Amino acid sequence: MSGAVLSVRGLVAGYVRDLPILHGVDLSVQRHSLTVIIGPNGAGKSTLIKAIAGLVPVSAGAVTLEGRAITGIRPDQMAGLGLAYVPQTDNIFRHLTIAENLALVLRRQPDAAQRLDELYTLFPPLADKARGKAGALSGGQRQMLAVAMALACKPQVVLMDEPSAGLSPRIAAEVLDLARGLTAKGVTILLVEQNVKQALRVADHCYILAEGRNQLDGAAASILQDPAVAEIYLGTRHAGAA
Amino acid sequence: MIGLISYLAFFATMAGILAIAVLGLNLQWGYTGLFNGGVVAFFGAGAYGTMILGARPDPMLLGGFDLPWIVAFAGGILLAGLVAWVVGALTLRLRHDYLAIATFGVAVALESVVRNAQWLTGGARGMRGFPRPFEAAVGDTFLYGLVFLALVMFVLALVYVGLQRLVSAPYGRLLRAIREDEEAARSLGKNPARLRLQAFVIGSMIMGASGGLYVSYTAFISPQDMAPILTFQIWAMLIVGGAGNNRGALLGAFLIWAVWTASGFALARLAPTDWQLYSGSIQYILIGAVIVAMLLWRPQGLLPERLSIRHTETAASARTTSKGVT
Amino acid sequence: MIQALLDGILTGAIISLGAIGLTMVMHILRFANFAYAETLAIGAYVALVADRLFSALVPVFDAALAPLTLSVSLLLALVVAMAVAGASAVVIDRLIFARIRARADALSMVFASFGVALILRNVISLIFGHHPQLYSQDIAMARVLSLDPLILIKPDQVFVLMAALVLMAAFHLVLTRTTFGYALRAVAENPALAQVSGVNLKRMIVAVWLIGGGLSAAAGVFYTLTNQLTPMLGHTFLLPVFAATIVGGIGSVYGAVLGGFIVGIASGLSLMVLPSGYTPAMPFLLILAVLLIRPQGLFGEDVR
Repeated sequence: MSGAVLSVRGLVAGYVRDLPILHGVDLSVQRHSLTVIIGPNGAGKSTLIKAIAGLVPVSAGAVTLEGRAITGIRPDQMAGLGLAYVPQTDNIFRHLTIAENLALVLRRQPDAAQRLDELYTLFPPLADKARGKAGALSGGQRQMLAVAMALACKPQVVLMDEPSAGLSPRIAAEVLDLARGLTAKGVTILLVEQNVKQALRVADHCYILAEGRNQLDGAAASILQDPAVAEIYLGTRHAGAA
Repeated sequence: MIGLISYLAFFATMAGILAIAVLGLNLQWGYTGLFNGGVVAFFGAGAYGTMILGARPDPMLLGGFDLPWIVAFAGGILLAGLVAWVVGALTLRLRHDYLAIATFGVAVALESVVRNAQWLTGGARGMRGFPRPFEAAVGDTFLYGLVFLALVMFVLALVYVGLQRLVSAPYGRLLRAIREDEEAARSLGKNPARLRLQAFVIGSMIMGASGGLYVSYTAFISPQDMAPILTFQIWAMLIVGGAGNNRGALLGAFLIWAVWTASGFALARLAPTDWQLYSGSIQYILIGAVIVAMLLWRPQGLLPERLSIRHTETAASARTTSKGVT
Repeated sequence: MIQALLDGILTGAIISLGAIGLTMVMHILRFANFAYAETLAIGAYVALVADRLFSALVPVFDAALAPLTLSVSLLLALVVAMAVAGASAVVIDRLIFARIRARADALSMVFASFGVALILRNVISLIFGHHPQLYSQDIAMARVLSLDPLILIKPDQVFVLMAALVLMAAFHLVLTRTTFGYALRAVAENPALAQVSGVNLKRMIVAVWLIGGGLSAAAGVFYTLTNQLTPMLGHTFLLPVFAATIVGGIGSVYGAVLGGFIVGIASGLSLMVLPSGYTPAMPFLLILAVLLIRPQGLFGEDVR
């Protein structure tokens, strides 16, 4: 699978050892692409990217990044390996100022000051409010900060959990366009979304998950045409069928 | 021979009295998952309550109403229940450690009140002059020891059977359900907060009964009886025996009481005289070590709860939420 | 009344130092550590030993820095005490609490902490004895600040208050000016996000024990400097320190500081209305009041 910067093979994972949420999931993310994971509630989409990020214990299977196995690596080491994760809720430190939030993620970076300037140039609204508490930001601005924090250490892959959640359609579109724009700058994006239409508008490839297993995957542009999609969402399709 | 039987009766009586308190703690901790950091407060409330109501009048004190024993005993139990209700109502809806701190605090507060309110409790002097139940009827001291032992065993059996009934009844399953998964219990239409408070108060009243029996036995109470060591002893008994099951509670009570008295003897006999002052410290270290060792080695106790699948809180908190750390 | 207030502020400063570490531990590890207050005693006794040691090694260090009864060797001993107490907190966590965290209920850690407290307190008692101890045999003369109303203050007390404030200010600077401080605050707010942001959680927990233990040790030394030392020091401060964290709100360092002063002042003022025997009950009344009016305390957030 050349060109795959992140790949997942047969992943079995869950919070409690004997109760896995994922039952052997496969995933392959192409370099510089935007791949989206969709599926009905409870499918395990969030759990999947949390497992990749090292936040959920993995009992079987493997995750590789640039050919290097990263399964079971501590979440705080992921940034150093080029992987960043933006959670759905509570994705910034509300009690810290914007500047402190960014300084924190840039802690280990040698060129922290320069990188900070670059981030402020990318996201001017953050520069204006740099000294204010992150908790005072609006929903869209918080998302912006969360993305800035993810980009701080120049990751190769960014995982995002429902970046449009809780945002108005217009702001949601802006955030997703931002994610799309990042792929042009050499970042690979893997995101989970409930907002299917908006997500497929910016995505290259799409995976559909249900009941902790792969159901379908294909090019984002054409996947909605597949009648199986409706069945998956309505639950009329059996899990595990290829 | 009579001396030996007399001593055994004394041993069994004390162990039995403490076992009643352990059963009360088991209801709170073993069945409902509540943390009582001040067992001695409820024990002491029962003891002082019984004493104040039942003792013979003393011109220096407000108390000593010389009420019939059963009334004094009931009064002590109710006092313990009242204290528990106040503390519980304020803390049970909060984080579990608030209850731990608040119960610890009430024990400290009550100890200092009892030590200083001379007009009520006799202060550091304590209170004496308590007519023991049946004492007038049974003249002989040796025989009385056996009679009182029978009384304690009767109360113990009553509490034990009562709790066993409770546990196998739907009420008991409900308590366990609340301990394991509150959301599910609430969805069934049960009010977890009210049930927890009930369990806490009942458990505390049982501890109060234990205290009432204690003071009825010794016919003397002082602030020394409100020292924190009692809380540790009761816990050690429950931790060793096995939280969540009543047989374990009894086993733990007798076992730890045996260890306590045996170590007391050993230290009195074997330790050099200038160490005698510190024999208490050594016993305390022993109890502390027993608690820590059991928790490290066998946290479920010697006789673990038979119904398994204890979803421990580690499993629940392993859910990587935005708060909480494993 | 001003005297009571001053004494209360002094006690409050000591309680605040003890409460900072406890509130962090309670919030991040989610357990009420009943062994925590014993670090005050550990610090105070280690300082006692270290002070005698340094004085014996370098006699000139033994001289008091007038008008205080403090000597250079005691200052050095303070540093050693802070380090040792911090280290022992880490060791106890590693040996006992961490193992219980992995194997059993969260509440089992609270039980265990009671057991650990019992052991620590009595081991200290066995080693050092029950009797009160002092760092220096010099008689500390109180200065008269005013004759009517009568206000007395000992130079040592002024030093303790200043030193406590300096330590708190230093910690504040760490929290607000260093990325390490940001990492600490981040872990307190959201441990999972902190990890994702590159913070090594285990190392931070060690740091919390070290800092908390160190500050508590200082509190113990400061208390001994202005009072007496007995093995009951930990037990005496246990409830006040808990009360401070509850008043301030579990998890808030600034809340712990403010809470400490509130508890101290309240206890000091209560002496004006109640006999001194009732002072231990005062923190409990404060806790009840907070739980009635505002359970999360001044700045706290997690109450469930």
